[in-house]
Amino acid sequence: MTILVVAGSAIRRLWRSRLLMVTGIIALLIIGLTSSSIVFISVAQEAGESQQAQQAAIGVLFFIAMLMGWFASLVALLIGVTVTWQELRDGTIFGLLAKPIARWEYLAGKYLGSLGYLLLIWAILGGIYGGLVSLTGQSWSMSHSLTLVGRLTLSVLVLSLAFGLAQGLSMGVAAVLTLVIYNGKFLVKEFAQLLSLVKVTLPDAVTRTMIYPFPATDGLDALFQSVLEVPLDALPVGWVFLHLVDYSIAALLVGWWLFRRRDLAMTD
Amino acid sequence: MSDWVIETQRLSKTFVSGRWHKRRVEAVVDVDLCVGRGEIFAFLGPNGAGKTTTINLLMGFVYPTRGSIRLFGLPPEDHRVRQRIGYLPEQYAYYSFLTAPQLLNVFGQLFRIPRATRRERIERLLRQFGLWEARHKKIGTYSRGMRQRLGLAQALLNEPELLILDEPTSGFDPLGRRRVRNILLDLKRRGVTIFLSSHILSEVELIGDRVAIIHRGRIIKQGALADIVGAHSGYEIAFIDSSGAAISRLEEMGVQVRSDGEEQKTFTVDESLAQAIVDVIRAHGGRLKAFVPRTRTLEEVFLELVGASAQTDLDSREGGKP
Repeated sequence: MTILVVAGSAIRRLWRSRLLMVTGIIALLIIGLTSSSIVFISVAQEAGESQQAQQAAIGVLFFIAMLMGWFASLVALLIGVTVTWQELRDGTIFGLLAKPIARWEYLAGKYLGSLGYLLLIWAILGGIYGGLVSLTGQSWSMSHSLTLVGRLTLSVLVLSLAFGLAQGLSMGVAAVLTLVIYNGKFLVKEFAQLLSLVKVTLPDAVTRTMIYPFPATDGLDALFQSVLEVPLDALPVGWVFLHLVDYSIAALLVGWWLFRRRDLAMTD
Repeated sequence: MSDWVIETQRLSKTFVSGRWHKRRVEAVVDVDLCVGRGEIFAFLGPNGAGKTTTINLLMGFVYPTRGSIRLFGLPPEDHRVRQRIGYLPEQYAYYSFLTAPQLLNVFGQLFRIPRATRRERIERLLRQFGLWEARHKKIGTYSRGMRQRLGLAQALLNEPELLILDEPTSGFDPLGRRRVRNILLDLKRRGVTIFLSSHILSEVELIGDRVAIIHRGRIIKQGALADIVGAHSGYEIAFIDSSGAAISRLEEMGVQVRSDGEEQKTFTVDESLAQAIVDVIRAHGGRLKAFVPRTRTLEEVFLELVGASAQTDLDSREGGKP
């Protein structure tokens, strides 16, 4: 119950922050940018180039989903690193923690509130995406759902990472570490590439082990392939969801560990 | 089990700041406090003395470097103890986008107060603190005084057994201060324990039962208000000594004499010493101008104690120099 009360206050606070305003503006920009493509595709369809128009529509939607994913991840990063920091800066945290709630309850409430806010943003983005799908004359399929869910999942991963790390590290360090972990797979691959230049080859098992802690972006690739009607590979998709669970739990545990004995105020 | 509502033993807090060049600040050092049920305990000290850090330690916002704290026999980390506590921080920050009833409702939910009771209590408190008319306004539009009143209202929402108030009257005009004072006295009559820090010593003097004075993180005086003020009350003696012989003799006796225009003045709490001073003045040709029994105010005692403590610090530092 107390967790939900804290979550409710977090959502209300985020709702009134400028993040949502920026979200709206960028979402409008996305619509504006893509509308021109959609108009172009509609013209092409009318001109009888339906096969090419269909391909173009898929390409545009792929691009939109990617933009939405990046944007949502950026918002998730910002929320994750600032949500408790803002409370500390403003002093509103003391009003809550002076009440009979444990620190872990406060943290879980803030996390749930942030998650709720992110889902709210995705509801808006999903609405926009759905509108664009219908504008291009396509029917909504499982692939479209998976595309959105995959991106949403990644943004939740980013939120979890940033939120957990920000409880004990400075905002900047937490943000950078989140980005490193977020892009870790790419970095490991680049590292392996560098080693190959000096004739060192990492065994597959080592590379796989190094890659494991990082979100499986391959899974998202698979989701997009499904939009392009390439047969969906269940394994990487499963990895994304596995990471969703393990990263969220790990983030809360790390956050709680860092937050539980943290001094929330300095000298007089 | 101890009957103290608040009990601290050798409570100390050292903050370490600076990323590369670590700087240690001893905010609170070996603080022993015992606050009994139903008393108003005033916690006094100059700015930066360690008052707010001590309160933050009591509330569990910061953790002690060493020493222990017990509130109703439980450590402050045990969040259940806060069910019995009302707290008003010095600079209260609210969710400015909420109205006062919305804020109190959120806090009431955290206290697990049933809905009907919550509604009734919120209305009563808002009326009591003169905020009922402004109940539809966002807190962000409130004046400082209104925010302070709201702070007090939220501190009383759970009908606490212990109130911890950091500068409760700082945003009030004299009328508002009297209103708060009456509320605190009424709470005391109902058996509520009140721990308050304040700069307004005249207020404290009117309502406090016991006092602790903290300076540079250390308690320099603690006890019943009447005893502390009483122990510093005594006799003021004014005289004229044109030859300077009486002054020399008094200084030999260790009596501090200060000049006030043509007159010389001295103060002592010891009745027999006061008599001896008068004898010396007369014996050395001085002219006695006044011999006045004086009750000192808490403010005078506070300034004297803090001043003496600061002087001792200075002396020990200078004495420690090679």
